[in-house]
Amino acid sequence: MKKQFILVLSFVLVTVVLISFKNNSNPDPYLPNYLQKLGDFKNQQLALIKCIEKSRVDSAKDLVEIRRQIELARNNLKEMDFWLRYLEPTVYKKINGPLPVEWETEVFEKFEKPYKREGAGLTLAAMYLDEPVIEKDSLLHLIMTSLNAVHVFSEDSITEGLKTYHHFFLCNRLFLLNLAAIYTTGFECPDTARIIPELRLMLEDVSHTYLTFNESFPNTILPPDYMHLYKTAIQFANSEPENYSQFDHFTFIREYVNPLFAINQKLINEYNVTSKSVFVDYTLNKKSFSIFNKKVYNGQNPKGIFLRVNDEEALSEVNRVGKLLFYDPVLSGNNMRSCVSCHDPKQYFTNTAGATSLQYNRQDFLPRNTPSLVNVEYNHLLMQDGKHISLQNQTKAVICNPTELGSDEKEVVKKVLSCNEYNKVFKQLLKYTPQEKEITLDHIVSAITFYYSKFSHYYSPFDEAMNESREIETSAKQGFNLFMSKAQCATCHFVPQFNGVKPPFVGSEFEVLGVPADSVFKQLSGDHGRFDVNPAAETLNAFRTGSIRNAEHTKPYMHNGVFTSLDQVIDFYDAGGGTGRGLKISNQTLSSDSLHLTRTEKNNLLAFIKSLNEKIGFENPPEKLPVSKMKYLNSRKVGGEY
Amino acid sequence: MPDRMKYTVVILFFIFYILSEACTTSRKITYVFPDAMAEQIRSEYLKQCEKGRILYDINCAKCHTTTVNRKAIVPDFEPEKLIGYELRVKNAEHENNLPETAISSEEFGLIMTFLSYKKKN
Repeated sequence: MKKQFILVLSFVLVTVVLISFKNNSNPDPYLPNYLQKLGDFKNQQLALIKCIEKSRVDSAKDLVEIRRQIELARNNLKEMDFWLRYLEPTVYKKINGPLPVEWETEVFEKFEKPYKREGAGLTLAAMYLDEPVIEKDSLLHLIMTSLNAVHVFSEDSITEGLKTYHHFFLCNRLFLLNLAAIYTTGFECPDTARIIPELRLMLEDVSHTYLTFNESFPNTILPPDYMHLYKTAIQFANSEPENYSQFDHFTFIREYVNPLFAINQKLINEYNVTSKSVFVDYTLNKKSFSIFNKKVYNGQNPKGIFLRVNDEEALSEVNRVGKLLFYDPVLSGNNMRSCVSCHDPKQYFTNTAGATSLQYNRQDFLPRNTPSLVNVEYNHLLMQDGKHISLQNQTKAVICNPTELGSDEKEVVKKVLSCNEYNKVFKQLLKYTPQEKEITLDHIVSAITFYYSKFSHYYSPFDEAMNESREIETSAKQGFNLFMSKAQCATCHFVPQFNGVKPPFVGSEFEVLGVPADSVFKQLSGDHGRFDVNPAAETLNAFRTGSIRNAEHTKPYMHNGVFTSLDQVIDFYDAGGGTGRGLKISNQTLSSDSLHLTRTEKNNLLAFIKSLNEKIGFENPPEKLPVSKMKYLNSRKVGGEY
Repeated sequence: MPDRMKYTVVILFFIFYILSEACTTSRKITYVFPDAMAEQIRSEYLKQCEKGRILYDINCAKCHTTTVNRKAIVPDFEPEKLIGYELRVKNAEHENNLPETAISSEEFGLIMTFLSYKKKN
């Protein structure tokens, strides 16, 4: 009897041990891990709300506690960022919006009016605490909005998606792109002392997420080479200084983030990962294995109406007539001006001679500086005010603008087709555009955009350093590290194009810098910028962020060409933009505090900017232009007269 | 003799008619525009629809058009399916076969115009 009892007891014990062992190592820990973290994040926000409710916002001591609670909630957020940012990017803005109001035009909605998105959440709450007068309700509102937004992430529509492996590699891709572009720059972290600690926390936590994923999805794992490299990335981040200005951003991206991105892209292809996001994966290219490959995202369509032409011979014909047209004043009303009049191919497709270019009337000057056409295809919106959504529309607008080329659609098509050479080539190309019965202005402008866009496909020494581990000067590396930190450049000029397009590369950003009308800061430039296209309090004097690639060769600078040297530009930012120099601008998006850059630091920044000079293979102008049936056209000069 | 010839001609014509009917793969498309649409705007839309139809044939017909009694039927899509990014990204097949390098947003717009105004089956 006793023996039997012991036997039963030991059987029960073994079973209990086995069951509890099984519970300890849940074979499917991925989703529970997500839900657990989401729960923690909700609870911490509830704690924060309670803390605010019982605090006195005029008490310095209470504010210290609120700040501490915000910091704790931020830590929870960082643990979730990997998913949240990908799964519902618009809802994410309520949790961690960088600005109270943003006007956005996403790439797939370019045809629609920009729409207003109100931000809320932890970053804005932390910034609000620095205001001279704090109202409890406003502070609570920022956190309550965030808490409500977090609930969206536990809805079935989202958690169902987490039951397959697909989303994971796409979340991870965005995570890696953000490691390169924003997580180390303080883009959404007002307290610069917290940037590297938050980075470390996030890296560590994603490592845990990786492990749970590999357990739950054993057929589509992150392979050992990835896991090993990731581990060394964590070690590197932990061994680097905690001050983000001393952190080696260059090595972090080159040795770790970019190679991890390459493996993840390979896995996306290998595992046939398909997107479930209507938003994030829109422009990203699966076949690009480096962040610094220019095809990492699709910007504009340089081929225009010839989009589906892949035949090399036909494309070389498009390029040939595109080049002739680019130099041909037949596009202008008086047959004396061409694209080259403002976009000189010998000057990086811009005009470095003066602040702005001459108008059609040959007397006045245009209101804005001519932008370089090199790398313009990596923008979603074009012009400094974002007026145009495609390269072809932009080209048409220049042709028809009475202050620029001063012609019109019918006239241009007629004159171009009066030249046998153009007529013949476009007729042969018509078979590629069966939707068009005859040659249109679309064919003409598409040839032009195809021609000039090829000059955007070259790389700089900086790209080569990133892609092929070639050496660049130490000063350029140090300049990049400053660019990513203390100099605060990278929070607007994002890796990899160093323009206003940040991962996931679906929109173009605008900033209010307070650019003066004159170089001695007597007054603000009278140009309203984005306001002319989309009038709102936030868009007044806002301009689209341009790329700093080839900046050494594309002077003068800013929308009105007010600065003639890069030194002046760096000094402008160092002083805190227009408001930093005493101008009154209520909506400047650039901090008005000085950056306190030393001379050596400025020199390093210049060295970095120069390392972005691309090795472009420029071409000689055509020797002559096609002959027209209209005799009066045959005296026109290559490139025009002014 | 002439009678027989007459018959032959009629029969030949008949066979020719049947053959030519059978060879027509696409049914003539008609469009339905709102009555209130002004004539000028209507003709502009018609042009857009026709461009969209050709682009549909190039890019979409292979998978979407069905053949019933040897006649090509362009399906009626629900309006909520005809949204740019839904078309591009939500559909895994599209994501692979119709990236931005294969069809532009503008062209997607033309196809959607065509599908929206095409007469329902």
